[in-house]
Amino acid sequence: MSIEVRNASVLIDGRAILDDVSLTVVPGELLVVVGPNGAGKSTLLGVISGDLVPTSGTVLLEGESIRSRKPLALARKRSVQLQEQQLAFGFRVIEVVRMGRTPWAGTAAEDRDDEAVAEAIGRVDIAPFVDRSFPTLSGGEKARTGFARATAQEAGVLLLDEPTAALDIKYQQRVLGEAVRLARAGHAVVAVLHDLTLAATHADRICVVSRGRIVAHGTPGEVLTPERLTEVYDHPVDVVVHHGVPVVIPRPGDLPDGAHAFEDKEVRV
Amino acid sequence: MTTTLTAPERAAAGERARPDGDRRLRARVVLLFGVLGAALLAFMVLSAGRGQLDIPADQVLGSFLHHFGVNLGPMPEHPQGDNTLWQVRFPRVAMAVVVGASLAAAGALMQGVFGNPLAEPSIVGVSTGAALAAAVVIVYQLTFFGTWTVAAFAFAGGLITTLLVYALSRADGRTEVVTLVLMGIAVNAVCAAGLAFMLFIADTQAREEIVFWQLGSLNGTRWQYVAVVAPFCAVGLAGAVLASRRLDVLSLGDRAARHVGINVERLRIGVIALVALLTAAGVAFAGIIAFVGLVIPHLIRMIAGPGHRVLIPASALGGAVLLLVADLCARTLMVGADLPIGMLTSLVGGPFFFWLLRRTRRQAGGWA
Repeated sequence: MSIEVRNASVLIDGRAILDDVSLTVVPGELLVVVGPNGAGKSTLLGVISGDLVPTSGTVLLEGESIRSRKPLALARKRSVQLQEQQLAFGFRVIEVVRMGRTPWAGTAAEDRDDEAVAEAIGRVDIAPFVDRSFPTLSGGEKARTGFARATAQEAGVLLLDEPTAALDIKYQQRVLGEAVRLARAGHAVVAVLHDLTLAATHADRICVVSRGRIVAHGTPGEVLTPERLTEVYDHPVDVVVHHGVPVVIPRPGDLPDGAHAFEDKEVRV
Repeated sequence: MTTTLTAPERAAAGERARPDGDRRLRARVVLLFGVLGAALLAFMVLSAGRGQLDIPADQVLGSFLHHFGVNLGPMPEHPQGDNTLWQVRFPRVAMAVVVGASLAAAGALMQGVFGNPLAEPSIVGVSTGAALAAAVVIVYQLTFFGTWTVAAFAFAGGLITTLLVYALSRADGRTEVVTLVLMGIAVNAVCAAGLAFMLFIADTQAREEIVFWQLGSLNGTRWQYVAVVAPFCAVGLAGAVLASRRLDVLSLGDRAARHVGINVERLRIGVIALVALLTAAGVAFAGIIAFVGLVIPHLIRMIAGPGHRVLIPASALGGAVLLLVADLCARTLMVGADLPIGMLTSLVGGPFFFWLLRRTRRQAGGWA
């Protein structure tokens, strides 16, 4: 199941939020979208998911325009985890995960409901609080539940908007690890991330968005160079290779004297 | 990669987590329906027996069964007993059940579609809108659709006001409490002005009719009225039950609901039509009976959780019971007087609404 974005532009009040963006997402890989605040990452994800109709350009899902598909047909092909996990009423966590199975109601895949939900719950360790009411969870627990719901949907394309923003180190690794695993199992996975090192450790390809355009696109090693990142983020950035993976370290801005009184030490690789 | 589990291990981890919550919830739901069903039957019999002419429960049952050719139980001893039951009491009891069920279900539906537990037909002005349309029928003595005229107009009035409130109070796919309550004030004000004008131009008889009906009362219910309102209620409830799974998903917000395949726009319009239908059923002959749709769904959610597949039928049952009790109080609290039932529900519902507002405010850390 592949998604192809062709020359998509999104204009809001005459301002280009996305400017002539083309992108292909193919099964088997994790594509990570990075870029500064307001660069258009979430807009791009909105376009890919079919939420936003681009002002010009098209989005093709399996070669067919995404706009011609009904919500239900689309939901069987792609699932989405939004940045914010809303819930109007106090459903229990397991009920929220089960909502991910909605598109399969009345189909043969309905038989897999319990299994898919159990697998999704195991994936991000939310079993200890499946009986709790969702609104009482912490931000990180909500995000993990959102990830479980999106994966329980078992659609071919998985779109994640900052899935790790609220998570601690362990679950950042876990969630992206699972995203990689799903990609290897044949899903096409797109994740918007802020943490460049996380992106570098997990992505098959990275796509850098800046001011509504894709300014770089390739493997982490190709894309994450100090020069490019310094320019895109308008802030000096170092890239250190650690265990064969680029680690991105922003230089501290102006700090009061003595705020980081550490000696430089060689990083042992 | 840190922790790597194989697929079966993951499934097992999830399986271990298979919640007791499901079992506990199911037990509570069964108990809830049992208690509500029993209360409904008990209060129907009790309510039918109480009044100026007291008829014991066994005689009420006897009269009911004999009517359907089952010769079981004693007939009412009083010569007018059987007549009173079938002419006055039974239609009134039936109306209380239908109106209560409609109003409570309308409240549950409205809360679901607004994604806000404080939405309720009388608070956001839908009841007043329906009432205004119905008052027009009374004042101008319109009879396009025979006895159905009032209900049809109430439906149209309710539909227009619901659509209006919905369109005006939503921003970015959600409805904030403040916006909703303020919209309610505005819509209620305009519709109340319309009602006042209807009162002004009405003749004495119509005026009296409107005033009583504005207060909300089941007094003078006849079988014809029940026959008009019951189909509205039945269609509304059936539609609500059909929409219930999708309503659950709608609480994820519009975007996320669309991501799992819900046609949000179509669902919304459909549910709004159902709200108008049920509110019309509640308002057409009984007038404005406020807060039933707020109190009941809230209590049900506290007992059985927010899932609409349970919430909607349980609210309907609960609403029916509440209105039976309220009507019984209205008829028996003061000797020789038939208090307006709408006054009673508001007396209880108003403070309840206030308490809910306070709580929502505290939980959301402001008026979110």
